[in-house]
Amino acid sequence: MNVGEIPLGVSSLETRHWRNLVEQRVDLHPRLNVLVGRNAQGKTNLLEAMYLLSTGQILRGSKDAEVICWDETEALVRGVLAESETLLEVQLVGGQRKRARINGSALSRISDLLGRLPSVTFSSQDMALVRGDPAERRTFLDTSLSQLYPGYLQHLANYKRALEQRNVLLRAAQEQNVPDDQFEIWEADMAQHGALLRHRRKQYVLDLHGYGGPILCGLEPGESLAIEYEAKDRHADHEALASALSEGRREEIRRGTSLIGPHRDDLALSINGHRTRTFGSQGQQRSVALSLKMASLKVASEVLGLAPLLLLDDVFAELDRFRQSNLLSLAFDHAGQVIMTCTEVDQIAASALALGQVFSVESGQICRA
Amino acid sequence: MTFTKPLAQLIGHLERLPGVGPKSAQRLAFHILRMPEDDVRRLAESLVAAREQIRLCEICQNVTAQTRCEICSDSRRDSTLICVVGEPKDIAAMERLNEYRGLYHVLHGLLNPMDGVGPDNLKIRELLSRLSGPIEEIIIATNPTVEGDATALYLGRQIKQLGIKVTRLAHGMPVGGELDYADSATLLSALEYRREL
Repeated sequence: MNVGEIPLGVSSLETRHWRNLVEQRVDLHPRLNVLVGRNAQGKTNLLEAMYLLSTGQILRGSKDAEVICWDETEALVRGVLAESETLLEVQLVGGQRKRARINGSALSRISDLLGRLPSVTFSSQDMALVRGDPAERRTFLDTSLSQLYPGYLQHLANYKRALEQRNVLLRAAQEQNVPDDQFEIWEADMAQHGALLRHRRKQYVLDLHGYGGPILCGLEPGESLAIEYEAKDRHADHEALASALSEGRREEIRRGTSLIGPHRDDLALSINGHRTRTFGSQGQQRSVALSLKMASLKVASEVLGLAPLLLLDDVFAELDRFRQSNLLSLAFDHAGQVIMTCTEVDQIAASALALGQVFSVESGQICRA
Repeated sequence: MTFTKPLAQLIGHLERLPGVGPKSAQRLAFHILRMPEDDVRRLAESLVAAREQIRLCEICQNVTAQTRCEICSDSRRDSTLICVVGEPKDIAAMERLNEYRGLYHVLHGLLNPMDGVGPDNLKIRELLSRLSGPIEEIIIATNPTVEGDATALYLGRQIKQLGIKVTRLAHGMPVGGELDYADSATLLSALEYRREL
């Protein structure tokens, strides 16, 4: 952690009817927390509870109702921030929207939690960042940026909404005449918000690239990772995007979908000039995904002037000792609180364990080990 | 269990109302069964009467029992000012201010292709036909949503072509609110539309 950065973290975490953590209260270590247990005991559920407090969202793409204990109607996750003693709460009631409270006062939107406890997460699912569709990488950019700039989420939501409306018109125009002025009102919104999204994303990717190079995780000597924003069209500013949308309309009507704008962009990842999506070995792909996440941790700490929360799910088993200690020192350099899970405590070097607290997790019970 | 036919029918009708789920519909139905018969008859009659008597004002398209609503018939109102709103309930909100002395126009919705709402489904033609008389300003007061903004832009362009001044309600910080508690969307918009002191 750099000098002057405020370490972020949760000093105590409580869960009620949250997955298999029926009624748990844990005092967390300010720096390193290692959750040890066999599979399906509840380690990741605790990590997810932290993610929920950080983002208001549920990890692993589950539906809200799936995280509530069987036979119960509501779940609650509550955490006290270590520095400010702010109380964050997220409540899930079956069939309703999630509700969040800060120090007891209700937030009008769950997304207003963003920015209170910024976090970076890494789990095996993040391999999709390298191997998956462009949508996976756009989601990574969008969720990272939303944590840094809460206003970004609003621009994104407005952009997506205007895009959907325009797409409906494009399809309608295949059957009947739709006057230009009806397209223009949605294109105006797309251009305004779209230009802003691209601007933020490009700047962010430049930063990732800048930090990503020096802090590569697990790549071999001589391998260099390039992270580039790949815009599918060249229309960067508001006016250019607006006129491109208007000029492209005829072709887009034929295709029935919007072909211009940030919703088509991608993040290009390559090692020594080769695209990792198709060329990389499995080990290289994991290293790239981890490097990307660690670069996002570094960028977040630079932009926010805070050391974010780092959640690592079952990452260590896959790394050798050298890469483990490399990852840990990066984590200690740039993260505030670190929470990690593993199946065997001897997967982690004793010197690292001495810096934090080990918890054992068994059948939804979390105990200091 | 299944209810006897008249009760099941009542529940079925109540369920179709917005915001009423199966459980609320049942509760309402049983409540109605326990009400004095006279009260039930008055409720039924008021439903029918409202449906039969309420129509749209021939000028502003607000709901009214007359051909022309009370605001449009009030000669003290400034007929050179028109405030354009999405729904009749928005007029009530503006009127509570007791500040605005102009007239209104109700669009009965916002442009929304996803829901199949285009310009022809809104009371836009009726609005444009009102603009031939002396008009100083049109104030567009649609909601600050993507659809509200698009509708405002659409109207704004058409009205400007006629050489009439068009304005849009500002969006920003709630007055008397604390910055710390403002949601990000509101704060962002307040920042973007800040003004010089």
